[in-house]
Amino acid sequence: MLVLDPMFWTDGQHDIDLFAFWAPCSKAWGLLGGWRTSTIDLLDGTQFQEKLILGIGAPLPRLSEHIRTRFSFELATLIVKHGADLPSEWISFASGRDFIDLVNFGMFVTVEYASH
Amino acid sequence: MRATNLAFLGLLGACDRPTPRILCHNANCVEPTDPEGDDTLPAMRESLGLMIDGKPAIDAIEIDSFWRGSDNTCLFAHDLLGGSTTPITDAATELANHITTAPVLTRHPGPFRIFLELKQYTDKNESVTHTPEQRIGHVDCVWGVYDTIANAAVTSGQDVELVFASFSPKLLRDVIARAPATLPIPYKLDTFFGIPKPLNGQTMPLDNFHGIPLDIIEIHPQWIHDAQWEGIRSLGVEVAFWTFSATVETFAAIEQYEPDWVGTSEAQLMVRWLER
Repeated sequence: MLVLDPMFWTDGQHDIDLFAFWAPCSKAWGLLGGWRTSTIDLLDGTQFQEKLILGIGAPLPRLSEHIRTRFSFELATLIVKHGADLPSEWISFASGRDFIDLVNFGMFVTVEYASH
Repeated sequence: MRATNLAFLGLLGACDRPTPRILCHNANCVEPTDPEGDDTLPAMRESLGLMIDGKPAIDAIEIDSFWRGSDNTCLFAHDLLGGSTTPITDAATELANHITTAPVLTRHPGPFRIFLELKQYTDKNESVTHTPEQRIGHVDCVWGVYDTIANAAVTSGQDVELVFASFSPKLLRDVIARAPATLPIPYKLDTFFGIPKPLNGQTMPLDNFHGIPLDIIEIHPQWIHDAQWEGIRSLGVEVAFWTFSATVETFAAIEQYEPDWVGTSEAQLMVRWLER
């Protein structure tokens, strides 16, 4: 699944998600995993932040025969930030200070349409 | 002017970008983020010297004082894990030299601030804290730093303020109690909201600071909820965010809460994001 960020024009930041979701059946909870690239506008450049996404998802009540929704809870871990003529920074686990800011939790809802 | 024009201007005004002042976290804010360099003299020199477009990158710098309980020594250190043996007086001298030699100290108008944190534990084990005698020793040590900074500020005519910061209300109370009779430069008091229990046990309830005239509260932008924010803002204090490595979540929090200060380990990134 490819997800584009509709709010990029308000904050100068753009997230592109590429993730896969697997569940044993359409009504079951499942696992998701993927990658998120965030682009951040800076003065004279753009920084890219690359995140590994892991999470779980659960089905919500169907909105119609063709539309289903799913609630997901994600753990997003920033693996590397790069670009904008700044030194690249990779995540480290040498101490808590190295990764405390780089691990974030989030929630989102997906709305999926299928014509058949 | 027509009402619709006024309404449009009002909408634009609401979209002002936040303009926090930049605080160099742990005297180490030149990229890439490297906490192993926190509270070291080389990182401090590099951070103080960092210029962007001909102006300093920062408005303030934070240094940590650590009272090593095993031999009652006052160190320039975040903790004992890095094996620092640098006396805090070396950091004070370095800052005094900067104050007396740098033509401009801050990126934005206003006094140059030195945030001087008093670490509340005295051993590698964070559960070991000061005895009453060690608290007095630590507090007298940081007032010594104040003297060095104040002398440099008065000599050079630079506008400088010193902020005493600690998770520990006992240490802040002793700072107040042992203040010298004359104060050549202003000082302020500051505490922290860090990572909540059970992940970290340093943060104290605000009730524990009753009677301490706090000027600033520092919080982590990814560990805050709106009720905390409203409670802190209702105190009328300045608010600083402290971060190591900024993510999109950090930037979103700065835009949402508009803190007075952003403490960062990435001064160039933060300045270039704020001034984009």
